[in-house]
Amino acid sequence: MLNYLARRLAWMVPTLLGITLVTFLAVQLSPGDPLAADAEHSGEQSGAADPRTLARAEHLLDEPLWKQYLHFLGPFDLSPRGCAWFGGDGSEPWHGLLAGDLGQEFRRPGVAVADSIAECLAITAPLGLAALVLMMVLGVPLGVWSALRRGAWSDRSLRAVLMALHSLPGFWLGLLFVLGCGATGLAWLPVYGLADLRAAEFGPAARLFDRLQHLVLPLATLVLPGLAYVARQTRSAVLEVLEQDFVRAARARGLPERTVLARHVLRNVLVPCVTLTGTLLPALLGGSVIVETIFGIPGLGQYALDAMLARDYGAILGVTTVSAVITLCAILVADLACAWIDPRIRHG
Amino acid sequence: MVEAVPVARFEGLHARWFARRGVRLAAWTLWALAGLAVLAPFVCDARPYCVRAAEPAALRRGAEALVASGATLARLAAQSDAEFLAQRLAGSTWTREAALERERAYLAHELERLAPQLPAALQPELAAARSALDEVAGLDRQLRGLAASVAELRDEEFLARSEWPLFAALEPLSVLALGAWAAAAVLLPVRRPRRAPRARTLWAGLAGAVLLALAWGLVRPAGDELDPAAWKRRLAEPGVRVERAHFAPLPFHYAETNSSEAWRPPTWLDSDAAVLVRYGEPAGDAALRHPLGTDGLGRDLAARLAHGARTSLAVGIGAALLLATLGTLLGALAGALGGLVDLAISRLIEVVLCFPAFFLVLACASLTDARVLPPALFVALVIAFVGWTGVARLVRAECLRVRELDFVLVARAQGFSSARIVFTHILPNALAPALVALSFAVGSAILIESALSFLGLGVEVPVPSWGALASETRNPALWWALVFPGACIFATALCANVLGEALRDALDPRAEVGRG
Repeated sequence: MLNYLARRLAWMVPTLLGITLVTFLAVQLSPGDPLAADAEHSGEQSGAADPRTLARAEHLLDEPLWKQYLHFLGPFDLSPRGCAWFGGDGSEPWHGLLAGDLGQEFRRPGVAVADSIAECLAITAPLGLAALVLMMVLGVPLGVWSALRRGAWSDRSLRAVLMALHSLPGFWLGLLFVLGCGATGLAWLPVYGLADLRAAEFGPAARLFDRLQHLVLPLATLVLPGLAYVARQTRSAVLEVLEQDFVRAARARGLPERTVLARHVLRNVLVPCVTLTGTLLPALLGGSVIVETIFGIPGLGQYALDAMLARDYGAILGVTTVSAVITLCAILVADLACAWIDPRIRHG
Repeated sequence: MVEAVPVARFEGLHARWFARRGVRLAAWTLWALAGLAVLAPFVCDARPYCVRAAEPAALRRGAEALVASGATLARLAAQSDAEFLAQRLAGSTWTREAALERERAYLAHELERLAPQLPAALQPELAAARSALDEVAGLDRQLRGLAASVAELRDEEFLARSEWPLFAALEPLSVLALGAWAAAAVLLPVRRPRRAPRARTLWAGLAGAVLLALAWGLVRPAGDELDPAAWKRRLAEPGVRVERAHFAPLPFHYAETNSSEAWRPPTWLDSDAAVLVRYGEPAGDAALRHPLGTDGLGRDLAARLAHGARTSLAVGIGAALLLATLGTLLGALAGALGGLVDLAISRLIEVVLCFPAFFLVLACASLTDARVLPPALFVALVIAFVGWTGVARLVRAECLRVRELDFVLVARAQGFSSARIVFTHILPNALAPALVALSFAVGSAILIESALSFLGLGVEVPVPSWGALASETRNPALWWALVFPGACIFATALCANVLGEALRDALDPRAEVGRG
């Protein structure tokens, strides 16, 4: 097991490097310049003391690409105020990913990207985790049930429903919820934000209830399409296991169906389900952009969208790197869990 | 010689694919949605198919303009170059010759326009003016005479002229799409199919479409107009004699605004509301005037939906094709060659997989300048670059499996080059998962494109995609602007997914598992 863990961790290094490189290139090679956009308006005052010129120098925007990448990667600060070894004045020797620093936002100088991301993650992470748990808790049993009733009308109609859910555009589902449950529709549930405007006056129980009420629609929008995906994948995994010889052997030995299912089938379905959990995470983070835009939730997706629309290189690099690392970790954890469940994987 | 093992899975594929009624329904629905895109330029347009009208007032005005133009021409001809240069506006680069040439071209064009609408009695005078264009001498006088004669004509003496404005605007590409769409119907069975359609029929249909498009390119009447609603306006002007005008079933252009009809709900729902007929629009059936309502600028939503289908389907299908090609190529290289190539490609797949795909799409779409590439192609490329990993993984796994089979060993023993082995032996036998992934990719590409458009980062063309249409308003009271475009996206994705699943079941040797 430790051997397997070490191998996996070693493989993560080139992947991480690749991720940073792809992110960096995607952002840097795109045309446009975050700090040049306003420079035309400022006109004459582009002297040495212009804050924009200073910012350009600080972010190395006029330097060659490799230098910018090394600056972004760290751990040494290559800017004029950076590490003394590289010609800086030594006031800020450390910078970049390897120093655990995501830099500052371009559009709001002085605001650390890491702080903003942490703030947003505090909102998005519980939402995403709740969605993930709901998806698995609802989707896996549905998939198993559907597989066991293969061919029956209940299976066929469930599959049709799941197929429809899987094909729903997420943003349309959200907008339909707003349409149906919002103030102009049935007025059942709040459709904007995470809490009531007067939430501060509520008692603790009322505040919790209010928060839950606000979460219903965003969660439903996130969960329903993903739920369909999970259930469909689980169904095919169960069907695949049901075909195996050891299941037939177990039945031939006269084991009760419950035992066959619990001991032989479901334990083998665990592995694909756990893998699925790992791969769902990036889709959830992507889906959060839509959901947070529709329901006005100030989370990571909204932050990423704002950063992209404002061409804030610092924030874009930070968000993409952080989300890629989260995903990588999730996949690692899922793989480790698989290896723990199934010895064939860790020795294979 | 042992050549590639015939790919047994593709035998009888068509019959297995379309065995179920739901799948046939999905295929026909998808075909109908594509029909929306294909037929849009034929049935949703503000231009009439055919018009026969005379415009006396406009012709008289035109004849008067001829006089002024003739005077200018005479003045220019009399001037020396030096005089012209002294007179011209500061900053102008015109030369006298260029000015003369332009004036002459304008006159020729106006006379050409006048010719078919003047009665026979005036034709000799017109012909004389035309022939006098080259020697400037008597032209001024002749044009004066012509204008005077035109002014004296009574309204009913002008001849009506036939024109085909909608057909003039039809591009040969639209005709090609129509033919290909009609030919594709050969593939779709109505009842449970016994045998596959003859490939010959399909090819004949496609060839016919190409020929039709070429022929159309040759005989297409000249002329196109920037303002599609100009025709309605012109026909409604006072003093215009309309003998015949046939409008398209939905006589609205997708960009035609109407400030008095902003945010109208579907008209069959409130047929009591006053029908506001503008210009020369056919009053028609008031209840079906705007069958899906209008948007904030009074543009007809049905026309926008039909034209939007062109953008959405082009991006969806284009992205899926690009994605499948890229994924198949890289996956086949990795799986069939192995070694370092496999290692590099596998790492690349892992890197791309770790990104929240949508973030990467967003980053590319928001950061890249769309002026370099056509916007629709660009969005398709972005989706393909992020989405190829799934196909690549499937194809790689399949290639790894096929590579170990005996017929590949035989091919290798015969000393075939590795390129030949990969492309003629391994790849055709490993294509099944790529085909399935392709049809699923159509659905997901359309969903991604609509989400991009919803966030305002999608295709920016005059024709909006469905996603952009669905996100025009967040006001729940204007439900039609949200429900109809979204339903189109949903239906397309659903049909593509149903077809993909049926294809997977039909290609899978253990098909009985998936079948209900």
